Amino acid sequence: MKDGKYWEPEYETMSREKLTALQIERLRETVRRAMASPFYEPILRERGITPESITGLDDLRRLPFTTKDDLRSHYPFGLCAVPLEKIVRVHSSSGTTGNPTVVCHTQADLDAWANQVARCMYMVGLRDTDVIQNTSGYGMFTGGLGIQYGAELLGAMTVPAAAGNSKRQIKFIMDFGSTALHAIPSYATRLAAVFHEEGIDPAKDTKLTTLIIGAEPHSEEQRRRIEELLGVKAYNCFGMSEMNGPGVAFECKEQNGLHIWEDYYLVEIVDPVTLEPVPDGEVGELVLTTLRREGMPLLRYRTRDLTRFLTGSCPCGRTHRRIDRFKGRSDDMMIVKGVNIFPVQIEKILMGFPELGSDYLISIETVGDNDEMTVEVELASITDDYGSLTALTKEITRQLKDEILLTPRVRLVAPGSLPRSEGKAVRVKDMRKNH
Amino acid sequence: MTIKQISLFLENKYGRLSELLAVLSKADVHIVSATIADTSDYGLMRLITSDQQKAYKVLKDNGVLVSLNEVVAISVEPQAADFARVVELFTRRGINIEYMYCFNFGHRLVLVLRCSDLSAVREVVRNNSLTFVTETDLMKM
Repeated sequence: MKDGKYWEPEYETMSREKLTALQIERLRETVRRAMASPFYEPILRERGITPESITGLDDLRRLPFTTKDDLRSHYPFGLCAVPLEKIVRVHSSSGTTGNPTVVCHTQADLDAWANQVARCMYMVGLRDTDVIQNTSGYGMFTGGLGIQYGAELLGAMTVPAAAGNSKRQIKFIMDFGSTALHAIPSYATRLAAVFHEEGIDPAKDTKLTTLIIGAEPHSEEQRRRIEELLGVKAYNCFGMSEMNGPGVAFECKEQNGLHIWEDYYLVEIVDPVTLEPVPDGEVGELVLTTLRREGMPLLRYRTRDLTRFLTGSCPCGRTHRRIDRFKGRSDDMMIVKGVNIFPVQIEKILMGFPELGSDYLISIETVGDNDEMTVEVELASITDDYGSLTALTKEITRQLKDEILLTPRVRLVAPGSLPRSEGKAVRVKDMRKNH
Repeated sequence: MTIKQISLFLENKYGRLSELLAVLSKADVHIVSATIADTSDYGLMRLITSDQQKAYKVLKDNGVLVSLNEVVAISVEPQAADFARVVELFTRRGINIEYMYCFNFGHRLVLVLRCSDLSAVREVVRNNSLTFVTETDLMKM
């Protein structure tokens, strides 16, 4: 197995000049592939774009954007760029509204995906000696198989525990000596609570050292809390089924931004309204173009995820640019009384109070002509004192007002009283009439 | 000289009290006193039982938000004059009563008081021959 600092030093530490040349070459290849897709072919033809016409990265601007709606309206195989017999797997997102989105993979696509995941895991110190337990659902959700094949390529022992059944998860962690866990943040918190109920201290009584968290936006405060609860280092993982799944971008040991693999993706950050690139360091929507994908190349895919480039080089030595922890999805943004608010802003404040638990629910409803926001949050401890509960409520309200510029109604609730889900946590309930 | 009181966080939500009491009934203890004070969103239930450690453990193990704290319990004749005398003695000594409630215990009235200055309370009780109720007394129920 590999024993150096990097999984693929030749790519991970490639100079910007060489990386750019590689990207141009691969973009040309991507355009050539996209021309075989029923969706892109007419658009590219109309715009007079040919592989040969791509000579620099600036040519990216001539390519069309692609949205989730495009994927939905060309369900299931409209963006597939190879004959279907070349496709060995499809993944699909949950189609809560209308058609789901489908992504088609060739064997080479799956191999490339596993390689990206292995590269991420290697980056945070996981090796073939590790035991990696995956709590994601297997099946159409990419967090299952995506992590699975990556961990196997790394050579680790894998525990495909899949979602749910926390007591069984804990039994596996104890019995198999799992050293690493992949979980969404809300589930990691849930698991910590079950450890506690079982009288097990995960920091002392297990071999867990590493947690891979992703799929849900979460604040730095939430991450630190999870690290403390489980006695691990938690690394932020970014991915989306349209771009394979987990492994698109990942934190290194610095825990300061996620390296996005620029040999696999061309990265843009644009203003979600004007679609013009924002200056480096400013927040905008992440737009990705696949560079290696055969089955379903995507051009300038609007991820809806909001982030920014972190400037400066990373002490880890990798040259691939870093993006910041996600500010949220442009879809998650709530506009209340004209103010743009992201759930993570509220989470950040709540996690600062040791008296509070990790579960909360933001509800917005129309009262009269006004939108009103209620934040319900579970208490972690109490004293026999109304005064302190009232003071706590007031202080939470004050800090929230400073952060989101409007005054929500804050309600303290008992632990376990907010709805739990084994999947992604539901944090916002918008009950407004015109939503 | 103090007894343990259990305080429970109780959301103002339909069926919540019933759930709590179902948990408590697993503890197999006698209820000595239970009071609920409320604000619009939540209440605090204050509970004294024949075995506070046992009741506390059962509640906690079942995920109920509880705290175990100390209160003073003084037994008097169930007459307004006796009640008045205790409050008067406390007031004169400058003891602030944060809250209080009472329950009947045998033929006596037990005043449960939450005060900050416990050494002053002890002094008043000793100098005026008042009677503390102890946890051993409660266990006899």
